[in-house]
Amino acid sequence: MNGKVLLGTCGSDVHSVANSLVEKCLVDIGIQVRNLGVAVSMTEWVNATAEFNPDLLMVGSMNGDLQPLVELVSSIVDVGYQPNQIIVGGKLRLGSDGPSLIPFIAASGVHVIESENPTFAELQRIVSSKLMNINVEVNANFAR
Amino acid sequence: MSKLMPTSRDKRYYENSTSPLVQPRGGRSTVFEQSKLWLALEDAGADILPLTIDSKTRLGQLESAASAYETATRTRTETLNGFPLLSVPISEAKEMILATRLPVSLRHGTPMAENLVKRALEVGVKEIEGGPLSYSIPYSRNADLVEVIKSWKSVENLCYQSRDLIVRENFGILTACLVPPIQAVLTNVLECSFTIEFQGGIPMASFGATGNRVQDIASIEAFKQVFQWFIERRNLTFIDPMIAFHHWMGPFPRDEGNALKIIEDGTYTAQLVRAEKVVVKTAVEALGVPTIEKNAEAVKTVQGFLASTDSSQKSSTADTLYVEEEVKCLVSEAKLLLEQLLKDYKQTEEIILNSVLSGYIDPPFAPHQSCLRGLKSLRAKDGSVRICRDFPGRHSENFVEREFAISKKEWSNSSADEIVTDIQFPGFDKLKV
Repeated sequence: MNGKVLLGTCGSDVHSVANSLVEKCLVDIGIQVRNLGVAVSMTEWVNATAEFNPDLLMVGSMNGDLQPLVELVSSIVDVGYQPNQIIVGGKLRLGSDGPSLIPFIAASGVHVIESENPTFAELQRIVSSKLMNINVEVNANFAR
Repeated sequence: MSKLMPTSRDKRYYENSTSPLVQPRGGRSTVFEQSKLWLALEDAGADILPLTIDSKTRLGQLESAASAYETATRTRTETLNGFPLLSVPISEAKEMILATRLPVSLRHGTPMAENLVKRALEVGVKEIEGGPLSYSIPYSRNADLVEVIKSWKSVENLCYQSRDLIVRENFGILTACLVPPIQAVLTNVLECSFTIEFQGGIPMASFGATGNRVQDIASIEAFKQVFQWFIERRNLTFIDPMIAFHHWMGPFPRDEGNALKIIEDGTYTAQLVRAEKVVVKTAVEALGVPTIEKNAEAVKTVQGFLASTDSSQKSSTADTLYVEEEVKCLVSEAKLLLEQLLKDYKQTEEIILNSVLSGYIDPPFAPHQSCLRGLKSLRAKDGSVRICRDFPGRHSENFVEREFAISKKEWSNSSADEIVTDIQFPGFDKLKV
């Protein structure tokens, strides 16, 4: 599978186990992953996006600290990415912001993985299908 | 101000207890909610109360923590995942602690902990968790380790200056996921000796249930032997370290019955190893942050279990031999690695720093960028955690060969799904307590 994914958590989230495993499951199917790690600042996300030029960005949250995630999505869109190039997942409902912010994030066009325990096969399927759609859109743009 | 350092027999409120003291977990957004939680925990039989700090305060995102605290007090809702000690007025925090008769333990995960600990001691906290290794590499991606070590030296000094004798507990559990026992032994030895050298108080090593009781017992016994050797080797004054044993800290099953089996299993191990303290989990861990009621229920369960279980029965000969063999391997390997560190570095700060930079301390899944990330482990058939990749080869040939032979697995051939299976508690359906 061709494609580049920028991966990490933001805000106050320092959970690195899920982050490492998601990296491994994507690398296993041939995706090029740059893993920024945990508690990545907005500036680091934006700079890494400009430098790595990923097809997709995947932001995890295992502590449900969603406000920084909303701000991150907005910053990424500001630098020219489409919301549908962003995937968020993890324990999104853990914090108090979950019920109000999850529908807001989803409504903006970001792909929200609502299941807290998706299998790696599901995750690989979601990412592969996203990458295929993005490549199709890119090819269609070239055709025009 | 100066005071006498603790002696090897000084164990404060732990002194008179014949079974582990019970400490639950928990931090709430406001004084009102924290007090409510403590009241319920005290009623349920807790021996030590937790003051778990929220993740924004831990990482120094103080404006954000203060704003969430303000919202929480105004709206009476939970806006944080812990207690924002640095946002709460000192007088209110002090009053809250004064209102309870139980000792309070600060749990945080803050790499640069000086300010937080200063406030905690000021308001009457008696136990301070963390250390320069255990609260940096599992909790931060890029905290400057030189500054972290300086900060924890100041923490030890603050504890020394405190009018109380402080329990200085570290967090040898590290990332709590497939951490090989040798990593827990080394971290506990280095951090407890750091506390002794800088006179922070009574050192308390901490271990967690890893899914294999033989390994858990062996790790603690090995730690005790290596610690005594290391303290003599460093010409420090020996203080008998206390032991905190944490219930399984990996992912919990959603089924409450199975979760309870894991909790009982950990409590039993804590009894067997004569831990001074058991840090408890609830049966609803898998479902998110436990409610006050579920937290209190967990305390009652564990106290009930401790009261009804006889841990003095002898283990089988096979188990004893297996433990002895594990202890022997861990002790000899830990001494070898520490001797190497002592040969290369003289100052304590250098030893701590280079234990990470040189790859001696390299727990799997640690987010810190200074970790070499070369040490990988998986679970063997018997449920024990075994090293299956050692890069750049810090361990002795004999030690890794034994680990590889027991593990019979290779990291590079393991899929993400297989690793997840190994991260889970192994075979809880077969647990015997």
